[in-house]
Amino acid sequence: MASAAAEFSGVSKAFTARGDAPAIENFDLRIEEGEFVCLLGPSGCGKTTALTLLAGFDRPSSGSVLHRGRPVAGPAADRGVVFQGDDSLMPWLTATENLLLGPRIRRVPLGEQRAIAERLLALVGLVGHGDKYPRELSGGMKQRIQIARVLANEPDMLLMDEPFAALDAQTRTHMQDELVRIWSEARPAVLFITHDVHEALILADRVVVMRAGPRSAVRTAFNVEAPRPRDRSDPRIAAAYGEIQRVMAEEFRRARQ
Amino acid sequence: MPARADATSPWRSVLAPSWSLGRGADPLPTFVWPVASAVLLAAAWSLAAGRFDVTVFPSPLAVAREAMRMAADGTIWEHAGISAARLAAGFAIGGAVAVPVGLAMGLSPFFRRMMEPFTEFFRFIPAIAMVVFALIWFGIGEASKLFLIAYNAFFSIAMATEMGVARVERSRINAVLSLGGSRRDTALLVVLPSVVPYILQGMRIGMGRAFATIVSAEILAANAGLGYLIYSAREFSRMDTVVVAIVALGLLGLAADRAFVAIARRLYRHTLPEEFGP
Ligand SMILES: Nc1ncnc2c1ncn2[C@@H]1O[C@H](COP(=O)(O)OP(=O)(O)OP(=O)(O)O)[C@@H](O)[C@H]1O
Ligand SMILES: [Mg+2]
Repeated sequence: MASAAAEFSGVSKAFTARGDAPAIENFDLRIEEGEFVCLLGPSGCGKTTALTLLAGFDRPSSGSVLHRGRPVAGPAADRGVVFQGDDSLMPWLTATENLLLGPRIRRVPLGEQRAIAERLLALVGLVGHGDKYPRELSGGMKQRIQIARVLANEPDMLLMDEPFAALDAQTRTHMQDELVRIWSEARPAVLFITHDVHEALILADRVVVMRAGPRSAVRTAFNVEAPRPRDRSDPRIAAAYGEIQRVMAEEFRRARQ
Repeated sequence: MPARADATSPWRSVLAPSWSLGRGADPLPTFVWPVASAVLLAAAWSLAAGRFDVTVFPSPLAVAREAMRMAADGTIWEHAGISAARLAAGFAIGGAVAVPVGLAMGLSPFFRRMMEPFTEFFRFIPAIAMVVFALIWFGIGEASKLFLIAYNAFFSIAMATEMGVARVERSRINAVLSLGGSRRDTALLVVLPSVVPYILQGMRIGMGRAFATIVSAEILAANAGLGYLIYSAREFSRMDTVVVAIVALGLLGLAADRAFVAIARRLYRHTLPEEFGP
């Protein structure tokens, strides 16, 4: 069997040595090459935890996390990360300088860097804002810079933690369409965390729902068969929406108990 | 700055704390306050000084007369200039050692564990206690004075730098690593720029400590400087001269701090938090 883009097998992650229940336990998930997976689940169930392990920022307490068949040893440019929230932008760099961090690290020639910046600022709808500093940008604008920063690096795997949560409805729809377009062209494997079932259904090949934590793991997965670009009113989407929403509501109730 | 609830707003009771940690809105022009407090001080001072001899407690008038004399014949400028040069050099040496030491302590747990026993011990030992060693190690020349100033400035700068490294936003380091950066890249692209405000704040505190040292430093076989002036004037019971020297030292410190903040703000406009500065 060909190795997957990413594979979690029997992964547990406990944060404290105090013997508290691990956030995730026996977590299994396989993401194929070029596959777009959306991860859903109640707040605090361990979605970010799982993504962090695949990004290589942290190590599992037990079990294995593989990227293309190799154990994840740490962060690397082959897994681009869009962080939850906007703390990860450098406040002392302009929007353009922030989005060019990857090319700068890779020592891409300056002329080429300028072209990349122009292209990506246009893509995320921030032409004319390149010289602003993060504190001069709105939350949604900062988030788009963060996304552009990852795209500038052309990673073959994208790890996105609620990337569109801070965007207004119109920009969000636009960014979803752009992401699908970019994904169709470059075909990276994507692990995309969201709370929005509709968003998951517009984007994903497969929607994975986690149980309420602690000791969380995957509860169910739904394949989304509708062809892309997807119509938000497609009846197949509406049917899947009802089903996923029901499971989510159940897990949400369990999370509150 | 958060919006302040005005007196008529129904939100007032909710938003306005009964005590205030912040700097309240000031209806008067800023120069009013220092002038008012100076006038008040001078009045209280005159009143108190009237009851004592000038060799014990000189009046504001006596001090002002002495200050005019020292300004006119140039002595105060000469002493202030010499102290300022010493302070600048000692502070620069202390900072030049403290920043790399603080960075290394922040970046390397090994180095921190090796250094901490020393820094934690010696930062409680004031420069005056080290005067004897300074003399033995560095002689009676300029070097021993610079050592004491650098010694005292060192700790606050090194500790602030170390704390700055510890406070670096983890997700920024992770971002650089997952963009393909090396550890070296994270140090240059994230740690250094993040630490700048901490270093600058440590330097402001360190500058205060350097000023506090100058008097002890100038006990050492000095023949000029504001600290020397204080000691030598005391021997002739010229308390008016002592007060002039003290005031000059305070004003010099204030000017140095304001200049430092202005320069830092200019250089690091986008890195410094709004609260940096007086
Ligand atoms: N660094 C940490 N130290 C201790 N506990 C942690 C840490 N990070 C996460 N946790 C705990 O692990 C659990 C899962 O957190 P995680 O951030 O993965 O949730 P999430 O599913 O991403 O939630 P959200 O949707 O709100 O972002 C939570 O109970 C949280 O308290
Ligand atoms: Mg999360």
